[in-house]
Amino acid sequence: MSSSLEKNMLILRSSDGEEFIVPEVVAVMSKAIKNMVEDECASNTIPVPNVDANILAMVIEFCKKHDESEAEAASDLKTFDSEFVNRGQEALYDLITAANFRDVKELLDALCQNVAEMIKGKSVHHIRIQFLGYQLFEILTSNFIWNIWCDRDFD
Amino acid sequence: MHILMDNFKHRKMYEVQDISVDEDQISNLPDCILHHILSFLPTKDVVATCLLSTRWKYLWSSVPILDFDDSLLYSSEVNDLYPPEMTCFMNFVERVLLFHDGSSMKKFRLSCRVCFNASRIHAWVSAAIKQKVQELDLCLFVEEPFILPCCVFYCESLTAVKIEMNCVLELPTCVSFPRLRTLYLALVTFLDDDSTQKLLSSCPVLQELTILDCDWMNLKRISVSIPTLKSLTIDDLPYFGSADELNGCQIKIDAANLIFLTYSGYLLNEIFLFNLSSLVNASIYVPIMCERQKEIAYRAVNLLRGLNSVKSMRISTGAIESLFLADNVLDHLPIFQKLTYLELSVEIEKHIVKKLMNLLQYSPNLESLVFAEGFNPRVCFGEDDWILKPVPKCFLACLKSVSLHNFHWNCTEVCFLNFLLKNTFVLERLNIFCSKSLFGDAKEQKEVIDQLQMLPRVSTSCVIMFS
Repeated sequence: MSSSLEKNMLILRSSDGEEFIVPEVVAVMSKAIKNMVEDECASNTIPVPNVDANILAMVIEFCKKHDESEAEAASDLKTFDSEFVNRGQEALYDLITAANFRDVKELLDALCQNVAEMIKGKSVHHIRIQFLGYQLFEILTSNFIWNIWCDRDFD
Repeated sequence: MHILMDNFKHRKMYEVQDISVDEDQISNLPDCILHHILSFLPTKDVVATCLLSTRWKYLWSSVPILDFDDSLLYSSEVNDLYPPEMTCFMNFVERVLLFHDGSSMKKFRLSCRVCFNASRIHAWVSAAIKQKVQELDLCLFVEEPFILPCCVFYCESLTAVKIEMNCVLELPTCVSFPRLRTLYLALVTFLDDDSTQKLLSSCPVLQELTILDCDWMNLKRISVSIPTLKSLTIDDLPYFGSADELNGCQIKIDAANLIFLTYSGYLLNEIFLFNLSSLVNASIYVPIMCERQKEIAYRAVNLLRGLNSVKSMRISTGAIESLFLADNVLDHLPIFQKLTYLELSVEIEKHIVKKLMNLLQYSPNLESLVFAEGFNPRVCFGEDDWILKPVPKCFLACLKSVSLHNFHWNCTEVCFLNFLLKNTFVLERLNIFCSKSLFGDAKEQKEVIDQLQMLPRVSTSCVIMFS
C-alpha cells in the first residue's frame, strides 16, 4: 500500500471509512494534521474522526484551492471563498466543527465571517428568521439597540 | 456581574424566549466559535444578539473585540421606529464597557466622527488600556485639540496601535511600547523633533510602521532607525503647507531587515535610505510637480540609490520623469542587480518612453515587466520612439514576461508590441489585458487575437495570452 503511494502524499480516512489521497502540503493546512506529521506519529493513513466523507471532501476542496492559488490573484480566491461558504445551516455547522477540530484557520475564518455577515446590520427579527426560522413577537429594528437597550429600565 | 445581568431581563415585549427544544444549528456551536463569529462584527450587532435566545444572552459580554463606530448611528434603515441620537451612542459605549467582561478584551476600536466628547473618549480609552488591551484603534475627528490619555503611551500589553486624529499628537514625557509590532498614524500633526523621535525610538520590536497624510511641518530632522522593522509605508501627499516649501523634514531611514517599502509623496520631505539590504518590495509614487523640479529630481535620484538591492519595484511614471530632470542622472543611478520585477503604475506618456528604456539599461536581471495602466490612449507614438541603443541586457538574456494592461488596439500599442517581440530573445509570455472599451466586443477581440498571433517574434517559445 505505502509503496504504491506517491511521495509527499497522505491518505486521510473519514469517520465513515472513506479514504482520500491528498498531497501533504494540502493536508498540513490542518494544523492538527501538521502536528501529527511533524511528530511523525502519523502513518500513511491518517484517521480524521468526527468528520464524514462528505464534509472531508469539502474541506479538502477548500484547502486544495488555497494551496494552488497562493500566487493567483487574491480576488479570485475571495470569490471562491464566498461561493464555498454559501451553504445551508447544517453543512455550515458541520464544516465549522470540522475546521475548528482539525484547526484549519483559513476555512474557519471564512466560515465564521460568513455567519457574521448573516448578523451584520440586521435586526434581531431578521437574524431570528435566518437562524431559528421564526420571529419575535415584536419587530425590533436594528436601531433598537441604541435606544432601548441603553435607556430603558430593565426590571 | 451576573447579579447585574439578571436585572437585565427585558420587559414583556422584549422577553427572551427559551427555545432550547428546537434550537438551531448555529447556536449549538461551542462558545469559542460563536465568539469568533461575533468578533467579525461591530459591537452594536454583537450586543443585539443577546435577544436571539438564552443561548446568546451573555455571549456578547466576553467577545474579545469591542468595535464602536458612531457612523453606524446613521447608516441603519430609514424607517426606524427610534431615530438615534448622539447621546445614545455614548450611553451605549458606556453601558457595554460596564457590562463587558474586560479580562477578555483583546482589541478596542473607537471611531468618533460625529460624536466628539473629549472627557468621555478619554475615559473610554483609559478603561480599555486598564483592561490590558492588545490592539487599540482610534479614529477621532476632533473639534478642539485632544490629548490622548498618558497611559496609552506606556502600555505594556499593546501590540498594535492605530491613531487617526486630526490634531497635534501630544506625548507624555515617558513613552514605552515594549511589545508594539504595528504602529499606524494618520492625519496627526507631529509636535516637534524631540517628541516624534521619542515615539519612534520607544518601539524596540516594531515590525510595521505606517504614516499616512501626517503633517511634518514642525519637524526638521527625524531618524527611523528600527532594526526589527519589516514594512514601512509613508504616504506624504501634502494636505498642509505649500509646494514651494522644500525645506521640509529630513527623514533618515535605517532598517536592515526592511522587506516592504511604500512611499508616495512629492518628496517635499527628503528621504534618506540607509542599509536596506533585505528589501524585497518597493513601491514608489511621486507625482510630477511644476515648481522646484531640479531639487525634487535630486531627491528622487537619492531615493532610488537607496533602493539598489530591491527585487521587485512598482514605480510611477512621475517618479521616472522626476529622475531624469536631474543633470547627468545616468551617472548617478545605481545598477539594480537584484531587480527581477518592474511594474509601471501609471499610464505611459510619449516623453517617458526614452527614460523608461534608460532605466531598463540599469536593470540587467529583469524578468518581468508590467505596464499596469498601459499607454495613454490619447497620444500616438511610433516605432521610432522605441529605438534602443544598445538593446538592454535584460531584453537579450532574461526578460521572460511582459504584461500590458488597458489595451485599446491602437497604433502606439502595435508599434510597441512589434518592437518588443523583435528585441526580446527569451520572452516566454506576453500577457495582454484589454481595456473596458474592447472588453465587450467579442468580434473585434477575435480579430485582435488573430492579428497579434501574426506579429513576428524572435523568441520562438513566446506565448501571447489575451484576456
